[in-house]
Amino acid sequence: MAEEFDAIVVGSGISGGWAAKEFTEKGMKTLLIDRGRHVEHKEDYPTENKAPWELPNRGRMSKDEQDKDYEIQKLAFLGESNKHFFVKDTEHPYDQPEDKFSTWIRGYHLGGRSIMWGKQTYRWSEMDFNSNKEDGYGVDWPIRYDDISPWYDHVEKFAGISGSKEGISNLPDGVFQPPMDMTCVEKAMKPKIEEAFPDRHFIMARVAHLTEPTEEQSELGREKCQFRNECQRGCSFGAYFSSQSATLPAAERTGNLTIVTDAIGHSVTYDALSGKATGVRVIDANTKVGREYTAKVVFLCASTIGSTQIMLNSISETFQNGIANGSGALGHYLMDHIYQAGAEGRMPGFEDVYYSGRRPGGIYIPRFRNLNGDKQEGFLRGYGYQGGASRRSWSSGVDDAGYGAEFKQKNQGPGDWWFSMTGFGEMLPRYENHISVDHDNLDQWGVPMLTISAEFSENEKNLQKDIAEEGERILKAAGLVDVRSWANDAQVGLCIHEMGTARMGRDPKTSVLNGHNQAHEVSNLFVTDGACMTSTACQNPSLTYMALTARAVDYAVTQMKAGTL
Amino acid sequence: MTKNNDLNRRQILERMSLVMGGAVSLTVLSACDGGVSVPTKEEVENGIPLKALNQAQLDLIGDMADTIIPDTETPGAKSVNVHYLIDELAVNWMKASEKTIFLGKLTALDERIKVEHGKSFSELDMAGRGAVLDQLGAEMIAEGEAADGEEQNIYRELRELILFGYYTSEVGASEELLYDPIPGDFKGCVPYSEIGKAWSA
Repeated sequence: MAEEFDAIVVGSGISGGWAAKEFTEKGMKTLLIDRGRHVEHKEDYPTENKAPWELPNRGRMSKDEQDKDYEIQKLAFLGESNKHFFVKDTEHPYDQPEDKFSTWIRGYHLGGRSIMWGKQTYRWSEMDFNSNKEDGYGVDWPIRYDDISPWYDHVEKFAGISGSKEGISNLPDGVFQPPMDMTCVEKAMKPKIEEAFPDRHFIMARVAHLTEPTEEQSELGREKCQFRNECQRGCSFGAYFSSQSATLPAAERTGNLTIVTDAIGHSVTYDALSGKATGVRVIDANTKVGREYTAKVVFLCASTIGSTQIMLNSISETFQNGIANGSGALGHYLMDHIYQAGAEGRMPGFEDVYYSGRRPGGIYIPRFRNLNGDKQEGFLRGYGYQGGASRRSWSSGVDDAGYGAEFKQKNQGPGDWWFSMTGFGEMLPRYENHISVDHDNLDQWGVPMLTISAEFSENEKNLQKDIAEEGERILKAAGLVDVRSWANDAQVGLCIHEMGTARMGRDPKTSVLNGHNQAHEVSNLFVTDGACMTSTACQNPSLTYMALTARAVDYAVTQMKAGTL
Repeated sequence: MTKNNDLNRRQILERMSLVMGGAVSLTVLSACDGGVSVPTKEEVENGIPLKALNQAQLDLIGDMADTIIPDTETPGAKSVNVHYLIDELAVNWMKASEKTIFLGKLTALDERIKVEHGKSFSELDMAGRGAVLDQLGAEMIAEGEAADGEEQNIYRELRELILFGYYTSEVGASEELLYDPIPGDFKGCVPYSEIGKAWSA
């Protein structure tokens, strides 16, 4: 089976799916490998369409099972209806220092986390690509907004992003389908907040859901969002962007795609004579036997930690500390967004209005700190809020001690309106936050054991405090009562926005990848997932991975055709 | 299965078949048929083995559920077998250690009611049951913020389980409240009078 491929893409999540689509549409024979099982769109969404009463334990997952097998995954969105899309920590362990608890939340299957992701999709702005240069934390990004802007257009058009054009300089508008609707309470809050704080905007979340499918999306079998908000079970309507709904069917129809699942990426193979990668060594997840695939270029899209782990495993005479790691930066500068802080409150009145449908996503308040003249003493950079208003349900009946026919009658109507929002804050790149591999300690597949060592610093903690304090001020100005806020101890990883560890940069001495996501030292090796990120901004990062991936494939194919790769 | 559920299933299948080009897969059908092993009425009448609760505990929860959410135009919590669901949840959801504590508290509550009221909860008339619930409710509110684990107030824990069990049951979610498996659209601001009841999900 010595099939010759033009490109190997490792990992089939958001980035890998995009790489496969772009390569195959440009006529390249592409091998897409994933370490997990095959998940067929529509067929393999076993809990989709189950009503609450049709789920085992009505959706309540056994707590003993959570403790036993999902010690870390249980801290995120794990439940009876989606646990089949998360790894068992017992099967996929990693090490960490006792005093630095980090959470790596993941799913190993075709499509990866594109099935369970939050779907919030925001462009970065010029400010975000400038930030490291501006304050000196981390190396300068080798690209600017103008470099990526056409690629944002490209990926938004295909993926389908619903949102509103707002003309906010630090949150550029994109190619949007119609925004989702605000609830009555959100509509009432918007002018109050924007009046009280002229520097703040209260807008609809931008999310990767179809609200008005294009011809291309319809051809791929995708339909408009049905507002079930059960996305994490998988969506047979293909209404939200996932590899299964969008990029993989696009790649498959070219006839240039080969998918191999249950193949754990172990390392990138390297030829010292040519100075190039020759392919990828994989371990069969079932038989545990190794094999190799070869290709002209290798794209690592195995997730931030996954891709860097593969590079650290790739040892040769030339690269004794991991492939393309002459800088020593590989594995370092791990980042996430700081999370676990927010505010909520009750909106009096509005008893005579309600909503219909279950909206995936809510409202967004873009960053307003340390820009447009605002200057914070306690922290650099900023944060945005995501939230929404809804009416309480029968659950408020638990605490009120009522009973009988009257109590039942009362529960039949909706309760008070509550608004809640959570901040997502930028994390600075720091050398000491890192991952490493232990070549003397192997997992059940013979892959070196991974260690994650990361924690938040004062900058993020101060920023988190501000999220809570400003959150209260915003909600009070909006007319809410019973306002409370929180800022809890946060672990790196829980926001599931891991970034860095193979960062892009201008200087091969301090960074792993150049401005085309190409390894400085191995010209046919590219990393286009979160590992490439030089800073985190405060926006959800997946849209940027999509754009960087499409841009990198375009560059690689141009070079291949010119014979320089 | 009631008529209402058949309607929901039919709606789902119709809408799914539009998406899937008319071919409704077996996966979808079986997904709709899957479910919780809460017993049917026939099974209850014929007697079914309990998994965690003893008969006294089952009776206490069942009649408390019946008092908190009674039969009205729609069946109440006992009629949809919430007490059997709680028996299931004790085994399949609670930690083994939590189950032990939960059962111990149930027995203590049962004993206490007998001592203070001279009869078990099930033997009390409606006025007697009301007096028990008034007392337990006042204590629950006096204790304030719900504590977790061993400290948790047993009446609050029962109320949570009973309400959860009822409003996620087919009757509670789709007859007593409103349930739309596939809304198709989101309207953010609608006069409540056009909807008329709370959404269960």
